[in-house]
Amino acid sequence: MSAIRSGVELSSERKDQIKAIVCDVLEVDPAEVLDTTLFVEELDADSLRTLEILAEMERTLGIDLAQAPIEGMINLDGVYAVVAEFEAK
Amino acid sequence: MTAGQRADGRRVVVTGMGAVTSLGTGILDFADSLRAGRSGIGPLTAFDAAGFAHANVGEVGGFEAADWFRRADPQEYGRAAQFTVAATRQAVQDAGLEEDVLRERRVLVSIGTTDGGTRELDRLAELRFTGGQIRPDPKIARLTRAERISDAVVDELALEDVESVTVPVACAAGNYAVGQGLDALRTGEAELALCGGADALTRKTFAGFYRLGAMAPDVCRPFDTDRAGMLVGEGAGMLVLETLDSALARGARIHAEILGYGLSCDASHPVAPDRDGVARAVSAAHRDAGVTGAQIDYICAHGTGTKANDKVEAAALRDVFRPGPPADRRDQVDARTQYGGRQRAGSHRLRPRHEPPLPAADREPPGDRPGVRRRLRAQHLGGRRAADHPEQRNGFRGQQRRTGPGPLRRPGIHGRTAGGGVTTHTTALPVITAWSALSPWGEGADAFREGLAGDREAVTTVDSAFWPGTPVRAGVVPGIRIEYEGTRGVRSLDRLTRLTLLLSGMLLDDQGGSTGAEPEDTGMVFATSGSVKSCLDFTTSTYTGAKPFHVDPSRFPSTAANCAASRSAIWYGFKGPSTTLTGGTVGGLLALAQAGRLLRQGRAEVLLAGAGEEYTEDRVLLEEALYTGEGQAPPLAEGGALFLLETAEGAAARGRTPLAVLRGSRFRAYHPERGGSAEQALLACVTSLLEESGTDAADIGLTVGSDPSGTLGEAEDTALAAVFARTGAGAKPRRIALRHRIGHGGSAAPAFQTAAALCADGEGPLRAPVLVTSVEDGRVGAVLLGRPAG
Repeated sequence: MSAIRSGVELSSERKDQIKAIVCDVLEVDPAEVLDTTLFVEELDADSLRTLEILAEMERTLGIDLAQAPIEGMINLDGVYAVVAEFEAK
Repeated sequence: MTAGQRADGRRVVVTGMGAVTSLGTGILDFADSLRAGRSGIGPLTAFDAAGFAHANVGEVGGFEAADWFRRADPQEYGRAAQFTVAATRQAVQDAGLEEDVLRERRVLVSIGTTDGGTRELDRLAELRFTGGQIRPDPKIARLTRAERISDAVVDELALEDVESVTVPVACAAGNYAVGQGLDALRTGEAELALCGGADALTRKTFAGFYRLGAMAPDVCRPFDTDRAGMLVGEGAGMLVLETLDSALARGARIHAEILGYGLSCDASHPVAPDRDGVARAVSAAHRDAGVTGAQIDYICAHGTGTKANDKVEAAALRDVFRPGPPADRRDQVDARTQYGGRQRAGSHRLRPRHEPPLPAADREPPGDRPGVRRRLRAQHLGGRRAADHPEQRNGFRGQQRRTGPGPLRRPGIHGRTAGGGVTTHTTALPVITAWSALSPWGEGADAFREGLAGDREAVTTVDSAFWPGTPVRAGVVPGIRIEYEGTRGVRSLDRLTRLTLLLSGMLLDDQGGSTGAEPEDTGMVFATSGSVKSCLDFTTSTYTGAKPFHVDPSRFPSTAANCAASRSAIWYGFKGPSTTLTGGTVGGLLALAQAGRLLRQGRAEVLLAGAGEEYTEDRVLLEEALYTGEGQAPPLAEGGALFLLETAEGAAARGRTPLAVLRGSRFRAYHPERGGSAEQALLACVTSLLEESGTDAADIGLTVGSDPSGTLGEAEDTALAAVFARTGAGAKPRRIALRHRIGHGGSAAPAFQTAAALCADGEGPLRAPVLVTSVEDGRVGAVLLGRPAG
């Protein structure tokens, strides 16, 4: 499955950057995280962690996610979709 | 029966009020604004708001500190402390207290805050960023300490017989302060209490809440379907508290009686509120006050207007108040309790004497607040009489505190009958049953004992973080395991929090991993000055990012001084009182005093009490700025010590042998410009402590002094010599000093001293009383430990 909600496919480099941020914030081994692994249910995250992911992406990727639907960021696919939507604009 | 009857006759009343708010300075202006439905919310001007999409706040405009200061120099205090002095001056005047009368009383000054001196720390961060100024400007550095807030009151009123403490526990802080005043008056440890809360707007906290998405774009709409978050404000609210007998004796006008308060710690999440934690605090307040939910006429809710808080708080209130709670007026002043809850207490106490119901400004139609609406109507219709139905005030998440002040119409307490007290408080003295230390001598009590016995030098050199290659002398904890390899959830914790987690864990490990009491009955009282580095770094990141809110939200909790104790509570599941105190170097002794008070009032079964500080070069630079310049400050020590405090009966029930009895504590301030000296103050402090505890100086086996260098050290020596010269007994007690070996531990210093005191007779219980003293500029304190019974 890929992030194609807005018809934009993220580059694999971009995805790697995002995954690194997610794994760093959630303090998990990247090998344990699939694109569909659920942050809250499977990785013991909470809403603050999701917010940390968003904040870290804004900071290090230089993107503005102020209007992003954070509720959709339940797994890597969800995060890719949010970023793809931003890049489509 | 009516509410709040106490068997011991120590009922506590409010006789003075003062307020500095965005709605006006002075209780009358404040009340007029509330009645007129004015809003104090407007565009931020306190600092550059560029880069924030929205920045509405409740800012105090046109405040002139010089209008309120009569004795102290306003320039010596930060904005929050200046607000506090203004509110205190009003409250003292309102109470009809002459200064010399006030000065003859034994006073507790306790003031809650979220940000302490962060407004001024923000300025240091700004100067560091814009001007590359690493070394803090000494003029600003002086203003940055949180305890300057309570110090300002002590200095301005020239109080001497005073215990002065600032309580940096975020939104619930003002309630903590009032509760502390209530307890100190009940136990007789104070005759008068000046309590309240104060905060100044800070860039650090604004950016933090903005990043969390908690800030409303326009106005705060508590308990509304369309609520979009909170707003921050600033100001101060102060109360004069005294016993009913005292108020009646001097014919004072009584605004209200404080019936009780309750406290709890969620021990679940640093940011998300917890329904059970809120409900437990409310229920505890009702028990303490001897009231039921049905008797409560009015609730001043925390009501931040965030989605999470209001939902959880409303649910918790419904749990306690069936079928539904009465309502509140948060949205006019600020959404968050930037005053630590205090200003609201002032506003509510107005009701009994100013009858018109106070409207809610900017209020949208009630949405998802069933029960709230119904009760609001009932209240406006005057359906209940205030004297029979106390009001209630809520604060924060994570740390919960509820007070239930009962309005009185006039002195004399009409509509009340005698009845039994409900608090199971005890006059028995608390005991220390275990302790642990994390010190420059190493990890654990054994390492501490060995270092002390060997008088081992533990001050070493650390490489400068700012000027690599330059050595910094400091007492750091060697080989510290604060990295917690492989442990999740600690990534963003600062050094102080990690040290405190480790220290708490060591003490618990020695007890087989548990205190033996229920989580709800286990708490923590911790003195610290917090992490200066966390605050400076966080504010700096508001400048270095592309946007001012490009901060790391996970670092935000660390910028609060209560982070270390709160994280320990979360980590180890302490759901009882979680208190953080700051009071300068005597802080570690203040924590023991407060823990003893909580135990005697039955607010916890077991408390981990003590103090801790971290080593960071930022702390070193601040200390150096406070002294006369580079190289003048003593080397700093980090780490801390924690003591397990419980009642003697509790200790027996849990199978622990007391090591010492906490026989008492005493604190004083002195003012050189009024002829006061450290020597006289300490002599008076120790003399009254010995008298109060019925201790003969000749029986004291050991003294552990604070060992400061220079004239303060001489003053401590002379005062102690005078104490023992009077006994007529030939031999003076042994004396231990440790600062010159491990460095200056800040508020942790007295905790190290207390640990040293407990080493007096090896690993066993004390065989003779030990006196622990602390002396710093303007403040002294002493704690007396005794031999346990049996």
